[in-house]
Amino acid sequence: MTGVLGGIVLAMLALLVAGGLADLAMRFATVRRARRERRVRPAAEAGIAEYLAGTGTVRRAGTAGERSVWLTVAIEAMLDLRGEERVRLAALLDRLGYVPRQSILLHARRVGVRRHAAEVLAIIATPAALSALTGGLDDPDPLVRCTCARALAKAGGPDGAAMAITIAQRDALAAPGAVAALVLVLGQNQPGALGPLLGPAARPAARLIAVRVAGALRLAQYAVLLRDCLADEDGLAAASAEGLGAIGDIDSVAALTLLAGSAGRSAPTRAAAATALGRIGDDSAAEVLGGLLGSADWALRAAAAVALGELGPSGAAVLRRAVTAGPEPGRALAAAVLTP
Amino acid sequence: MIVFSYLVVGFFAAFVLVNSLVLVLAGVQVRRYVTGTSNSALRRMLRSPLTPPVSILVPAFNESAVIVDSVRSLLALDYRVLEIVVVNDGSTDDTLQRLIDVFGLRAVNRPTPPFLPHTQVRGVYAPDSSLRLLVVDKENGGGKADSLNAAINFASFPLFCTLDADSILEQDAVARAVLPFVDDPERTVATGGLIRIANGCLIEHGRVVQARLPTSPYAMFQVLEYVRGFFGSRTGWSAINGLLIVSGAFGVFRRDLVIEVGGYRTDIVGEDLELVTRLHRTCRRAGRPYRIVYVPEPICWTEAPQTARALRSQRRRWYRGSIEALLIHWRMVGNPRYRAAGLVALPALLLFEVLGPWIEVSGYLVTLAAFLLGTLSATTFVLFVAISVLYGLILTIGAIALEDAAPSLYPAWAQLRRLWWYALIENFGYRQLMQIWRIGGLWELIRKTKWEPLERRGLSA
Repeated sequence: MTGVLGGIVLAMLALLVAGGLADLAMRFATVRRARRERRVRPAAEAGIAEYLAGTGTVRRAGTAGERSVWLTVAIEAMLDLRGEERVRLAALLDRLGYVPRQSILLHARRVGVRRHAAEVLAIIATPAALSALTGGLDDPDPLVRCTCARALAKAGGPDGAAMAITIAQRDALAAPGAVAALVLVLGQNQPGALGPLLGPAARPAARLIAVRVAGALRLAQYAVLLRDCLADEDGLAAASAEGLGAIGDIDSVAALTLLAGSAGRSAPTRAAAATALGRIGDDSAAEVLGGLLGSADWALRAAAAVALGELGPSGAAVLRRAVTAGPEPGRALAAAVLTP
Repeated sequence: MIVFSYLVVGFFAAFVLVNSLVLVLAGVQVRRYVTGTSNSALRRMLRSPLTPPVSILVPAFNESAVIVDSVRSLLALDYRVLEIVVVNDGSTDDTLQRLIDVFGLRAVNRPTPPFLPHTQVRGVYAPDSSLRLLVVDKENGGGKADSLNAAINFASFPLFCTLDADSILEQDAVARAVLPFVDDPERTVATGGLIRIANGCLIEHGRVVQARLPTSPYAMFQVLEYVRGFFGSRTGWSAINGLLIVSGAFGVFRRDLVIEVGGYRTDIVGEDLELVTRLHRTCRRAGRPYRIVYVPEPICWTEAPQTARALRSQRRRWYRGSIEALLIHWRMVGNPRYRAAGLVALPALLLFEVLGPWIEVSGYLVTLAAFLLGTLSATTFVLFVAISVLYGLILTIGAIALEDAAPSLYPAWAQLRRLWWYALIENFGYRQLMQIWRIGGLWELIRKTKWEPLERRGLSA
């Protein structure tokens, strides 16, 4: 018994010493990194500022650690810079050899390293960086693929757009957040290319993301495709209604009115349609919205009341009628909207 | 005696096995987080029109001294679209009046949404300006859960973040906690963030400007408990989707789902643990893919109890909360239908958190008695004590190492020395005292003692 316990104690002591050493090593690395950062960062910031102001030249940093800090500072600056200064700093990073280095890391074994390299190359986005990113489109990791595709879509060109659409379709389920960032960039830079993701042939997950992006960016050219989505499942219909409301598409009023009044659809979807009708502001929706004030669902009633408030005089008339003679559940909401 | 010895040894072996595995999983998760989260992704998210807006819910009961600074610092957080919903839970001081005066609020006609139950609302106040602030004044509901239910009703955004009125958030804490919702909007239902102890820190204008270790021994021991609990435990449970608690002091939730499951229960003291367990149960029963994520970086600073009385009250409440959650969800314990939550996390909660204090305390007593009666040799006694202390140390040092990898908030060598020293001495008195105090929670549960809010000394400099 004592022997077994003694063995356990020894094993635990060994484990504790190993854990303590690991902690010390971690702490040592952290302290060293922090010291290096404190030493290199001011010089790097000053060097980049002088370079951008045209009053200084920048030389390649000495050690790998220093280069790492320098790259971090430069990337942070690039996130804030626009126009000519950004282009010059990107060209400088290219010239100092950061692009070839990150291009190699884009094919590293560890996924974290590949993701970081893809992110850095996407921010630098010089022709050499974009060329390297093309090689990351076949990466086994969806986040690396999406980052590469995002940078190429941002750079423009039909190839980039086609690749972005392919990857968005492929990875919408595995990496919805990264695909949303990719589709957003596509919508911002090549809005005309978003169409294939909005049609019924697109995969549902990718289509939902594209509908949200089209609505968020108020891409009026896709109002017809968004209208088609109103007849689809509830999540897609609600996102489309939201988008049409943001666009202010007057031609959607009939379809949205139908959706808002459709008892077979979920209350959140109907509420999204009611909100969209309020944002569009067409008087013809007033009566249907007034009818929704008697709905059993509070959120739907509230959305209808707020939408009526946004319609102007026609909505106010319906709200006043609801306060005096409308169904009981909607009265308080109508009165609240009418209160200045 | 022999049966009891086997029971204690079996308990200890299970404890070592589960906690070691969780620590290893936590290590993998921290590494994944450190290498996988970039500042550029965060900045991209903050600029994206697709980023979901968040309602920050602040329950306040007699928080006159801190409420204005708290709201000001929340309004200044780095986030795209935020609204602050403060619920004045029938304060007897001038919490409401301070808010009205400082933020220029006026009473508005806002019907009370009926989604979740809570006490009567006396009035709703909003500023004339475009400030996204709503103050709900309600009758005292006897606890935070009631205020949170009211705040969820009045919140207008799809995500909400729960806070304590005296919590201090880092500038980007909400953004980092929301990142999992952006990465995986359909499956993520809740995220919890790292909570640190603010005692001893340098605080100016509602912001922690320098992280320091506390001087009070009680607070110092709690620093270690938080490091162990958040880095060594919650991070690991999150890796297998078995996280059972998203602390009420800082967590982000999907509002529609919380409403769907009925919000916070107001008849128990461990409402945060119970809600997360209910989310697991609902999602699994509905066959809905979901994940509850612990993010090892967003930082919320909170004041730890510094007196024995306050600490004892807190530990009893936590213990009672664990028992209540288990009594409500006992059908989930060991049930494979609930995967990691049912098969591992809840049994671990039962064994280590609820039965653990009893087994540990009786283990100490029996070992001591056996030693005094001469049935246990001095060598064996010392070895038993050594094993217990060493394993506690291994877990703590492991968690500190993960904290160092995250990277550490306490980077100085002197701070590490203090952490190690307290990791050693907590095994001689503090740990045993905590277990004894926790046992008292059972008595409170049986008597249904009303929980008293923690006595706080205030953090502002």
